[in-house]
Amino acid sequence: MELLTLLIAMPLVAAIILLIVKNNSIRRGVVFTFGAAIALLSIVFAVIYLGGGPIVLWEASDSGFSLFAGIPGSELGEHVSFGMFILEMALSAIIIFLCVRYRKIVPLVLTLIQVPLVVWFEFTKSKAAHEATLSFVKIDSFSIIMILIIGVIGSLVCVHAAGYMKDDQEHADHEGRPDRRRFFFFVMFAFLSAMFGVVVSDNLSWMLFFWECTTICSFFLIGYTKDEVAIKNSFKALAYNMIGGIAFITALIVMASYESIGTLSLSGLLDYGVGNKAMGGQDPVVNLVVGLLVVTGATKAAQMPFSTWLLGTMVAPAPTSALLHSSTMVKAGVFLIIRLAPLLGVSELVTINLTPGLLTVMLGGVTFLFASLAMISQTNAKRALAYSTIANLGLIVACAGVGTEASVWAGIMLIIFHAVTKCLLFLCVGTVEHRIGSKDIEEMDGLLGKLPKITSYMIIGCAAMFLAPFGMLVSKWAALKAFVEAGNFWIVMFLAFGSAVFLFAWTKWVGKLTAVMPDRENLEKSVSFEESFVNAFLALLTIITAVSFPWISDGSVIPYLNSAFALIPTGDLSALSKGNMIIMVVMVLLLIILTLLFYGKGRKKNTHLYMAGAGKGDDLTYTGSMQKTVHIQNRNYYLNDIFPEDRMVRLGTITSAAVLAAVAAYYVYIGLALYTMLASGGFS
Amino acid sequence: MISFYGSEISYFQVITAAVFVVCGPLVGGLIAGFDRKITARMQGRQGPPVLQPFYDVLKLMEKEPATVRGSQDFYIMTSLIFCVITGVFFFGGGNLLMVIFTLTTADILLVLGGFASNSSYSQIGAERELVQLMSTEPMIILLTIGLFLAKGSFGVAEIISGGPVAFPYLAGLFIGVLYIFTIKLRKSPFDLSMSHHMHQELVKGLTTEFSGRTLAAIEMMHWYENVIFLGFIFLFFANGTPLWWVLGIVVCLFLYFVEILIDNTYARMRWQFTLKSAWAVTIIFGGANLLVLYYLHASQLLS
Repeated sequence: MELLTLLIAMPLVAAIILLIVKNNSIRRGVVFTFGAAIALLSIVFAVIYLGGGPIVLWEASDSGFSLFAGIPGSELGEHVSFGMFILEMALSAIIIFLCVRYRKIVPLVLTLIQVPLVVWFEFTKSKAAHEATLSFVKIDSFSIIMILIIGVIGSLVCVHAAGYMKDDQEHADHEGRPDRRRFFFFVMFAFLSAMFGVVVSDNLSWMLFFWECTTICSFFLIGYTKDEVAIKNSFKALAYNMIGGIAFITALIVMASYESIGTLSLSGLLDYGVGNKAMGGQDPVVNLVVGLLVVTGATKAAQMPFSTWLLGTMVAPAPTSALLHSSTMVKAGVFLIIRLAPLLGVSELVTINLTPGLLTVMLGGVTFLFASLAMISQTNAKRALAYSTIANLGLIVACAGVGTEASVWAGIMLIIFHAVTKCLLFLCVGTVEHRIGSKDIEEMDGLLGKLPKITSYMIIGCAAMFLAPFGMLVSKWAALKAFVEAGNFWIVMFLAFGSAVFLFAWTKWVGKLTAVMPDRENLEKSVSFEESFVNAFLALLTIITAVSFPWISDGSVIPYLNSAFALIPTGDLSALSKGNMIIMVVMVLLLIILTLLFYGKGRKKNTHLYMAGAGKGDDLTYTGSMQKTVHIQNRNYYLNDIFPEDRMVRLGTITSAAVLAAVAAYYVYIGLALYTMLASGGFS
Repeated sequence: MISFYGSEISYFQVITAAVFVVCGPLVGGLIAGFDRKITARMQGRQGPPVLQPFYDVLKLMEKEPATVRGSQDFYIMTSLIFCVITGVFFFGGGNLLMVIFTLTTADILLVLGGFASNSSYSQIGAERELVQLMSTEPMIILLTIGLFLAKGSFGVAEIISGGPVAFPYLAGLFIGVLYIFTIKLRKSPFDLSMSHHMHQELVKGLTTEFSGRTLAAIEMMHWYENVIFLGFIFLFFANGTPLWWVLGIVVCLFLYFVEILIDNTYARMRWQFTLKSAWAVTIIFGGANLLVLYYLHASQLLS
């Protein structure tokens, strides 16, 4: 427990130091030192705990601190909860103040709904529920995977930011924007701390506290530049995430009020639900709680109909996007939903259990398809990446919804690969944007000549996002197989079309990057050390994960599945046979070797492009009408008339909202049915 | 039997895979030769000898090596290698999903080869090739799922060696695959990405900037690919008995003849039509077929 506390406290210490430090060189030093320390500490933590079964670090009888050895864990836990409650109220007060100051009605109303719920919960339900809660902090292989992602990738983003924000501030000075970098780094590191909290809390009221912290951190990060759009989008993100927060606190209230669950611990909920499921039964109240938590996760994971806030985050500096999209924020959403996977599932045998499972699958599937379609028309690299994030998260959510071991395997692998790759891509796009002054994909013509290293990393990243034999595609393959075996028709259709769209959207971008144009000026020297280092490191990490994934699976994912599905085995643990995984690894190696050996090594005579006889001989210009010299401009297909972004998003939002409404109506129906049977007791 | 991380691979599978590597281009080239001959006869010409495609490729190999960009040939060579690997997976009896994903990678590498030179003509071709990929990919994925539902396995070895003949269960998918087949063979009306004839807006499309050995490699890749696609059609009929083996091969050849006929009777369609029509066919025939399979057969086959 001490080690874990250190892990949560370390980013917080860094945050406070960075809030004070004004000098940029010292700031860079602090960021680098603490980044390395956090990454190392999370690795140490993983080495100690990875591979074993779940361990309760803070239980009802013992808090795990040698300092508080005599005090029961639940008693200490209650004090901690009260501290969190006070902090949460303070944060809510800040939010209310900001809402009033900027005249934002919707987030204000949502806060005013949430605060009384939290207060009421704290003073009526919390005490009894805490006494009944057996475990407060629990770690297993899945939380350790998350700790590694947050600790290593999150720190890398912060280090990259140290270089990036220096350039950014130069632009800012130009625009007359004040220097808010101290606050920026404070929030970045505080975010990591909150994320560690989310993934290790077994007590859901603690998780809620950290959850709200991530919401508020992201709110401040999105609004960093304080211009009109940034403020608007930050409040939008806040509002959407508060819907999730309200669903979360409602779930807690139901859990604490319902005798059969009674506890606030997530593992208690899972044990009870899985126990029921193993006996072939189900509890509608559990389904309600799970449904509410799925909605909570879906808001944070930017699933349709709650997806638009994530697009708004694109106004923030690139490291913010990288952090939100890869290791934190949205990953918290899918983390929670995957945790619930044993209680989801679309098996026809358990008919009522169908609802939360079906809800999850449909939300994820619809999001995957329509976000992929919306990605086609994006020329803005950051928006294209954002839609790809939403789509991939949709796939992960659908994997959780299918709820078999094989599908959850695919979901967790997707989380791992996506975190590394998406981080790499966002950071590269950020670096490129500062060099060429644009994040438009169409401006990336001949980038390989201007920024050979960064562009190569980007190509690696893009390939890893959609191409066999890299991890994302392998996971998608596993997901497809798991979906087919689970017998769900719609999700299979969504995946078939979504994958095809993904191919198109990504390849045309990679095509731009791979195109070689003569006489490009090399701009690589102006890239800061932090950025070069982090981008290179992430590219390497992308390749390492692609090559080592069968062993990542053995060492971390399989042990988690073994314990989570111990009572309700659903067949194969992983969707792919070990043999096929090894073949994929060999193919990655082959691709790397071929590239190293042969790329650009040809010794052929060079000729010129075919330009119907009008070329000027430099492969860049030709003689046009009136003997004018015209530059060649090649443009990609964006299919705006076939798949317009706004219509795709609207279609997805309407479809998913309809699914949500249908499930909600079903719950109301079940609720009424239960109410009539209330005589039998159950609610206290 | 060879044991590979828990999977058993028979010597027969190794041999068929090796046969594909060696004989794939021979069969593919011969088919291309007959294609040209039959096409010529349909147009009232004498046509080249059946072995002409081989002469062409051999001649290309002897041309002086020249390229626009040093890097572009890399993509084509890698694409060819991945295409051969695809065939090895397929004819070695491997997992069908692995086959289609590897084939997609081969196609993507070809497209990147088109992009690499930054030539306007080859980029248009590459872009259209991508549209073709996007048009056909859903149908191919649905086909593998249909085969899984009908046969209970994604393994090519299991699909061809026993069980019921898949065709009656997959009639809708079969129609869909036929539609896709024309696009995949890059034949008219869907010869969008690389035309066979020089003097048009597309010039030679994706292949415009390639010459000599690299162009020969593209041709060889095309032969390999065609054999793999015919293999996909064959899967509809194979059930391990000689009668259906022969019937499957006859159907494959007949369908190729039909493709030649279509090639000669249709003008090129627009890429927008290709995409929309392919997806419509996929949803109507493929989707409906799968839906029926799920509700009629899946529960008993899966249990």
